[in-house]
Parts: sequence; structure tokens; C-alpha cells
Amino acid sequence: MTTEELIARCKSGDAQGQSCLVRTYAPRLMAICRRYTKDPASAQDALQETFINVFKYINSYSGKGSFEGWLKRIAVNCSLAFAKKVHPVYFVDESPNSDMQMSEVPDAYSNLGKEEILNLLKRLPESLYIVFNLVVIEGYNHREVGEMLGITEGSSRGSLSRARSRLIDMLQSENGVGVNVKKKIVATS
Amino acid sequence: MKYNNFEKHISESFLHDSAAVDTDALIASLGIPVALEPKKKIAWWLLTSIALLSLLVVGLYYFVNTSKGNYIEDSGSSILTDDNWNSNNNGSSLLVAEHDEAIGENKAKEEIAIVDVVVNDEIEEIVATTEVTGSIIASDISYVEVDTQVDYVTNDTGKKLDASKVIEANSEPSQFISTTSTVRVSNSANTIVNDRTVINKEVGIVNSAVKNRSAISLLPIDIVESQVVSMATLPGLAEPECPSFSYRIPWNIALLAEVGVMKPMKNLENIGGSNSVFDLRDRNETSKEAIQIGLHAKISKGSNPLYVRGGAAYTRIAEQMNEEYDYIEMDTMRGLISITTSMTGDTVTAIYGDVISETRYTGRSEKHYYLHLIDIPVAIGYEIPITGSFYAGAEVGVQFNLRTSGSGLIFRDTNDYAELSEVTTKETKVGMSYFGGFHFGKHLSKRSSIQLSARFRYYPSKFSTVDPTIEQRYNLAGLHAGYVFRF
Repeated sequence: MTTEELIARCKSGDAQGQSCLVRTYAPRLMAICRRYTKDPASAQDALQETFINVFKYINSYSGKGSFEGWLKRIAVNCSLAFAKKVHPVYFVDESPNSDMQMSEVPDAYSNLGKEEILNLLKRLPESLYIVFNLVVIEGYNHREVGEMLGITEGSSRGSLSRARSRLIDMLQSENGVGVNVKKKIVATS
Repeated sequence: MKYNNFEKHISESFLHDSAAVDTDALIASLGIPVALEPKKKIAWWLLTSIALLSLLVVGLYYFVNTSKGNYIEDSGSSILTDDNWNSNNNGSSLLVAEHDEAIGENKAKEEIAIVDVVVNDEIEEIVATTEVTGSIIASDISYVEVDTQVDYVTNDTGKKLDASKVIEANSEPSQFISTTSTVRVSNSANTIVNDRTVINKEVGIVNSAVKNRSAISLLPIDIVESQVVSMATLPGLAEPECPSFSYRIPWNIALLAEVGVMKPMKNLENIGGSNSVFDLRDRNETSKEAIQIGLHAKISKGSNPLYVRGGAAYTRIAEQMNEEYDYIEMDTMRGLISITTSMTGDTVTAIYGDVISETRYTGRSEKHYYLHLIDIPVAIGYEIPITGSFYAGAEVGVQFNLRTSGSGLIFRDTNDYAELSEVTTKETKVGMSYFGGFHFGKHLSKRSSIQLSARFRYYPSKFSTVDPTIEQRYNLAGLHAGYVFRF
């Protein structure tokens, strides 16, 4: 079944087509949802929400642009909405201070696997982590990121710049800890 | 390595990223009707084809086997005479007569003789089935095997026929009664041949001399005379055979489907040193409810009030962790941290640096985790009727745990929850537990009843999952509603 046939069947509400769509794209979309949510259960909820929206709005997909890109966009939006529901993320509106592209990082980091990279990135503040993900991993431009997050394009640039700066600091420092989190649980009475 | 190369490495690493998903569960959760996959369709067609083919083969087999004989059905005539016998026989070796037809004594003799001797000299045995009522009279009978509803078989030589399966007419009295279903007759001229070499013929024979008196007047006189002879040797004059009886007490088997709600009584015990996780869990983790569904078989014997029950049960215990959180996230960003103006006022110095910001998060949350148990309960019980259609009983038993698993988030560290299904240290079985209780029920019909049971379950084993220094034990008490169906 080609993608066009698949889309057509889903548009007509065909259950087999819908099942096929889920089976084909769920693993890739799940990877996206996992990047933006804290735990697997939240990722699953976000993925479910993604497919609900996909089937709800599939008639609005005109065929322009990549279908997978369209799906990814929904997955990212759903994951972000889900993440925001759990706790709000604040973005600071600022301009980039400098370009870090030419900074040096230890060569050892070129061999990092996916999980290690993800663990490293998750040590960034959440607002920076999200922008970094959207730009570097998903490949969205700052205008798109601004639209998705409800921030200005400049803020997106600034956040990315700060994310890079923090990342470089982390990589260059032995401990690489750029965020101090102090968290305590207070028992209920 | 330049940073931009590292960033390139990151983006390439996630270019075709995918993660494992239970797509079936996802499809189910989306409410998409399950459509047969092509493979499943093939399997379905294959199985259906095999089933149809098997049915066809079995059908053909029975058709061929039941069509071997050359039957003549003479359901129209009430009396078979020489003429209509001959006209109906048409050279066939087989006669099938309806119940209400009368076959004259001589005809019966002759027919049997004809079948044995004329039609096929080698045939020495006739098998009669189908609700034969009355007498079979044949002078040349030497071998008789009887099945249902044959009242008696008469040998007109006056020799006794025994009601056993094989009778040698030459040496036995001429009458017997049997309630078995097949009659086998062979002539006396020859010795009894081996069943395997005999071509058995099915003959339904009714002698109307007894059953259909109106037919007697139509019979030739020699038949009536013969009947008189046979009446003289009525059953009962022969040596009576006493049947042997064995009374078997029947087993009562019933199915019990149950649904129950229980209150978990959890006991957390810290067997390590000071443990803040234990303190928090002990204070904030509450057991919600346990539900159980089960299907059991109950077996008892006769009216004995004792019974044995065994089956399978699934139990889910729910736990809830109440949490209030209050934490501060410190972050830094680039910004203006100082502006200095010189004494003369002609120079303004701006200093940029890391501006530290703090964000405080407070809130409440509830996290749940569940323990899933699959058990084999076995119980022995005592059940007695009380007033009317009500009954009551009590039982004790053991429950063997087949599998224990967990799901949800369990509090593991002062600021961390673990997905219980992913925690490797969890135990997969909690061994044996004991239970006891009593029940009341009401019979709805001869086969069905409903009952309400109160039960207490004790687990001697611990359920500790994440932290080996915390022992988690349970007792459960609850009510179960059940439906009983007796076979």
C-alpha cells in the first residue's frame, strides 16, 4: 500500500488503513514523544493524543509536503502540550550573545549513542532542551519553533544559543553539570 | 572536534529514531475496529478450508458406508406375503420392514431361509436392528444375537433360546426376551460362521401376531398355529435371569464465576537503617482497593456437603502515593548585571554576565502503582441448605501464585519514581497464600444460583519490589459476588 493509498483509506475512515498507519508510523512518532516527555507513560499518552489528532484532521492534509513531516509536527505539538500540562515551561525572551559553532568539544563525544546524547541533553533546562531539540534534531527553523512555542523568533534563537553555550560548558567541564536542581518532597499531613 | 560537528552527529543520530510501541494496544485504545491482517486472513481461510474438507471427507465416508447395502423398503404393505415378498425382493439379500407391518411366520421363516439359503448360500447370519417388536419365528435359526426391543425369538423346533448374545437354537428353548437392539439369526443347517466372514444384513422384523391382532386374521393358518406354539412357551417360563445393578453416586460439577472487591491491609516494614523513602511511603502511600475476578470449578459427590473448589483468579491491588512537592530550579542566563557611572559622569560601564534566576515549583500530585497477581486457588468447603432455596457454606484453601507483576509509578528515591514494570528487582511470584471465608447463596433454578462470599486472604510472603530494605506485606479482606452453574 502506498502512502497515498494509506492516506486515502484513512480519509475514508477505513479501519484497516488506520491500523496500518498506526503500525507504520507509531515507532517513529513514539521516539519523538519520548524526547519531549518525562516518562514512558506520558509518552504513550502523547502518542495516543497524536493519533487521535491525526485521524481527526487527516482530511485537512492536502498532500503538500511530506506526510511524515505532517505527522511529526502533530506529534511534537501533542508532546509539548502534554509536557506543558504537567508543568509549565517558561521561555526567556532574549537575543543570542555569540555564536558557539566553532568552539571545541572533546573528541570522545563524537561516539556518543542516542541514549547518552539524550541523557546529556536532558540535563539542560527544559526550555533550552525543547528549543535545541526542535531546531537541531527535528530540523525546524526559528520561525516555526516560535509558532509552536508561542515565542518570538529571537527568543528561539536566544534559547538555542544558550542551549549550545550550556552544552559546550557541560562537555568541556569534567562534571559537565550546568544546572543545579534542588528538589525536596514535603510529606502531606 | 568542532562543536558544529558534534551537533551534526546529534542530528544524524536521531534522523531515523524509533521506539518500541505496543501497536495492538494503541490501536485498541484508539478505538479502531480490529481488522484481520492479511496473514490472519490467509490462516482463517486455510483453517476454514481444512474444516470443510474434513467435514466433506467424514460425510462421504458415512455416506459410502451407509449405502453399502441394497435396501428394499416396504413401508406400504402391512403384511408381506409370498407374492409381495418375491415382488419386493427383486433378488436383493436385504429386507427392511416398517414397525407396523406384519410378517407372516412362515414368511419370516422363509425370508430368513431365503436370505440364508436361496439368495446367498454363504449367509448364515442376519442382523436385525430398528425397534423390532414382537417375535421372530424361524425354524432354521441356530444363532441369534439380539439388540433392542425384540420381545422374543422363537425357534419352532421348540428348543430353548437363551437371551445371551449368542444362542444355539438346536440346543436351547425357543423363546427369549431381550431389550437389546440387534438381532442376529443364522440357520441351523450349518455351524455358526465367524462374524467376519458373514455378510450381515439388517432386517427390521415385526410380527403382528402379538402386536397387530387385526393382521392375524389375514395370516395363513400355519402362522397362527405357530404363534400358539410360541405363546405356550412365553417368557418367564424359562430360567429367569437376574440383572445385576450397580448404583454409582454421581459427581456434581459446577462452575463458579466470581467478582470481588477487597480492602488491602498493607504492612510496610523497614528492615534497613534510617530510610527516608520508607518514612515517606509509610506516611503518604495508601492502599486503595483490590479487585479480583475468578473462574472456578466446584466438585462434590452425591449429597455430600463437602466440596472441592479449584480455578484461576486475577487480583489487582492498587496503591496511591500522595505527594506535595516544593522545589526550586536555579538557572542562569546572560544579562546585564551591573552599570557603573564614573565619578565625572562621562563614562558608563555596563557589565554583562550570568544572571542567576530561581524558579520555585510547588504543587500536589498523586501517583499510582498496581500489583497484578494471577493465582490458582484450591479450596475445600462445606455447604448446607438452609431455609427455602437458600444455602450457606464455609471454606478454607490455599492459593498458588503463578505470576506477580507491577505497573505504574512507585516512589523509589526522595525525588524519583520508578516505573514498576521496568524495575528489575521486582519479584515475579509471591508464592502461596491462604484464605478462608463463608458464603450465602440462593438457588435461582435447578442449575443456577447466586452467592455472596466474605473472604480473608493472608500472604505470608513479602511483596517487596524496589527497595530490598522495605518489606511490603498484604492481607486482603473482601466480598465476592458469584454465579454458580451446575452441570
